[in-house]
Amino acid sequence: MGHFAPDGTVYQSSLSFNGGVLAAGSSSAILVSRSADGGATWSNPTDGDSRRAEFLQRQGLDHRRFDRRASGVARCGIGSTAAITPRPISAAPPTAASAWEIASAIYDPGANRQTLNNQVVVLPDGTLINFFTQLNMPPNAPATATLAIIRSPDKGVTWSAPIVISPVQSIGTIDPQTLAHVRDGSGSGLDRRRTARRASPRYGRTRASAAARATASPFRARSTEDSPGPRPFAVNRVTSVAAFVPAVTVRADGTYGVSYYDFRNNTDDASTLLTDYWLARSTDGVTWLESHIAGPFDLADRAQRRRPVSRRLSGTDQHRGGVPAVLRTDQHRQPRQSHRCLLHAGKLRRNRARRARGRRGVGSASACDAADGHDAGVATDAASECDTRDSAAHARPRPSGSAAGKIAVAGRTAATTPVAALTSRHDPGYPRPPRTLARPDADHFLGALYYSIAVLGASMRDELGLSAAALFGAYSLSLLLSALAAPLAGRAIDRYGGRLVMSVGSVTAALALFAIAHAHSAMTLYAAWALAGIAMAMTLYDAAFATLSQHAGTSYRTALTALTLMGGLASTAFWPLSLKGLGMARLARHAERIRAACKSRSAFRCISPSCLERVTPIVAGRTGAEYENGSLPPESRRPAFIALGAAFALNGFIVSALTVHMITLLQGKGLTLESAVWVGAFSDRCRWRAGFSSSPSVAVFHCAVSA
Amino acid sequence: MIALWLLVGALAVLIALHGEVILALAFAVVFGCSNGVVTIVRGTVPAELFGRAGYGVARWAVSRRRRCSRARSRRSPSPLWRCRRRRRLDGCSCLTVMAVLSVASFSIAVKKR
Repeated sequence: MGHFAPDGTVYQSSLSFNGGVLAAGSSSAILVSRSADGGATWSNPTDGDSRRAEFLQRQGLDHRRFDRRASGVARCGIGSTAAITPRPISAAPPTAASAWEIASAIYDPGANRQTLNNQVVVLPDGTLINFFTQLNMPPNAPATATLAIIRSPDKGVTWSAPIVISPVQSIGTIDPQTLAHVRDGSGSGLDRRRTARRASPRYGRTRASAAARATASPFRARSTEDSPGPRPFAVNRVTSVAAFVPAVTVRADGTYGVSYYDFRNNTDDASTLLTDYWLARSTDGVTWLESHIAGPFDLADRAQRRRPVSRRLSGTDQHRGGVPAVLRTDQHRQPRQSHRCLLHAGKLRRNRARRARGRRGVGSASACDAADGHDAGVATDAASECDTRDSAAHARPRPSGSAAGKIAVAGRTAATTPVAALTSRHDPGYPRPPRTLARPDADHFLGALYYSIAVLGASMRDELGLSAAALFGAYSLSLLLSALAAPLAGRAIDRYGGRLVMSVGSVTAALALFAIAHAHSAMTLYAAWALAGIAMAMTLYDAAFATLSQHAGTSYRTALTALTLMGGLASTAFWPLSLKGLGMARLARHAERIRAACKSRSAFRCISPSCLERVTPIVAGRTGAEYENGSLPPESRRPAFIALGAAFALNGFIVSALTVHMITLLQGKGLTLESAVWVGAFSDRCRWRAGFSSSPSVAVFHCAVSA
Repeated sequence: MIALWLLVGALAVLIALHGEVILALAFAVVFGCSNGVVTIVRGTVPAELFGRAGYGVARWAVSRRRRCSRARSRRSPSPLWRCRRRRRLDGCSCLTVMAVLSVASFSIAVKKR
């Protein structure tokens, strides 16, 4: 697991074995390495507990059981000496190997019992609290688990008797295909499958009541404090799949961060269990911005299945103002039904034992008080998640305490870099963090100037950290600008001809899309969209119509219908393309590959305006003046113009509202993203057909033009 | 005119939609047809009514209004959907009313002949 010292040093510790894991003749030790440069380089592992291996051998005990019981002890020594304590217990500074204390037992749970998930936290006054799960495994009886703490007022020399917090109330996570329990750490080592089989007739009821208890108790607790408790909010964006191993933290500026895993990208293939790692951020606790941290990786992978999803249970840290966040996960009876991560932000409870209470939803242990002034880092969670994969440790990581301000929830790079550092060092097979996501997501705008924002809006927002209003505001700005530039473009088409204007517009469009693709801040995005707006004025339907009216002469209507047919294809092709591209981008690991894809896509886009021009039959030598007059007498033109403008404006409003929000709207109506996109694309295909049926001769025309 | 009525129909289907893919497809068909025909109408009707002299400017004068309203609609539907949740005011119904208004307005424009 990893830890952040107050000075920013990162410590990584693991229980390592020489030879077989806990086999005869093997030795084990807690190894520690440290990094002073944010995870870029690491020291050689040092033996934090050199006597431990020998100790294990000499005792001749049940190694597995003893190991679990003792591991917390060993780590307690490590943690309190250097990793998270602001005031080291040992006199020597925690820089050399000699600084590690020899481990000593701090708690013996007794026969047929063990502890795991030991997590040491240092309170501002120096009191140490060790939080753990105690497993009681009486022979011939079901195992039970309780959450408890022990306290040490004298920096680890003496420890109190255990203070029981609560029985474990976890519900667990279920693989939706195989219905097997996922080792998400929620049961803290309790073999849930065994329990489930044993209690199979009543299993559903047991789970339901556990869920009810978990749901009800926070409200009960709050009602006694006669303040209306805050409403729970769904944090994860996709609530139709299980979210699990949530970790919540509050940054010094009050930003909440919740990281969790879920199965939203899982497929129907029962042999795989694709899992992603997400981070949701919020400043007000109501609106949450979800971003993708890692994945999808296969949780059902055999090599990985032996290890828990995450050894890391979440720790809730509080910032200086003292607002702890208690995370619960609410699951329903059926594995396919909605699961929600719920976040409660409440006032500090006075009772310290209750403050340190771990409310276990799915694998969450909201926990103890972090050292004053320390921000918790989601990065720490990610780091711990990663490094447990290469250690055979049965130990649990602790709540995160990070260097103040350095590693924070909102810092995307900071959150992923330690993962990369630890990963590259210990486990090359672990999926690397998708650092290049911002680029491909933005690049997919190249897919279509006009349509893709409906599909890609959400991921754009995540990557650039913008609100929905800001992102669509950029798009609105471009539309407004295109409206302002429209008369100029119209005049230019009348004066210089549509061909020149549209060609210049196409080049501008390509430039604008390139700029959008490389926009990494709100300002550059707005500027790029502004350029795109001008390009739109010069290239889209209206310019093409005007150009057609110049060139097509009497066959104007037919030509216009043909153009609409081609235009109809634009969103039919690009909506699903954008979605596919998005999926590909998530799976793609190499920036080069993505960049190549982007290049081809930008080329695609560059082609499409020239497609429009190919449809335009070029008849040279005509000017606008030669065309017939309208059917309307001059005196009634103005009111008709106003009425027509109003009709088209209203129509435009509705169509645009539906086009841009259609995907979201259909999803809101209960459709999946995939089917919503296809319905959206289908609607455009219908538009294509509508144009087609309105003029059969167009087909011939179209063939003639493309040939 | 038919195209504009189709849009009203599409919105009606959308209001009735509750997760059924078939209805969603029906909505897509009606909406798509309406949209396609309106695009053509947008191109031809101004030319028919006002003639094609200076068509570029006329086209843009009409489309500017449309474009401005589109720009506004990017933001405004979100409050509309929100209204729907909070005050039980249906965003889709609002759009339907607007669609009917657009039909009325269009019929005025065409009848002036």
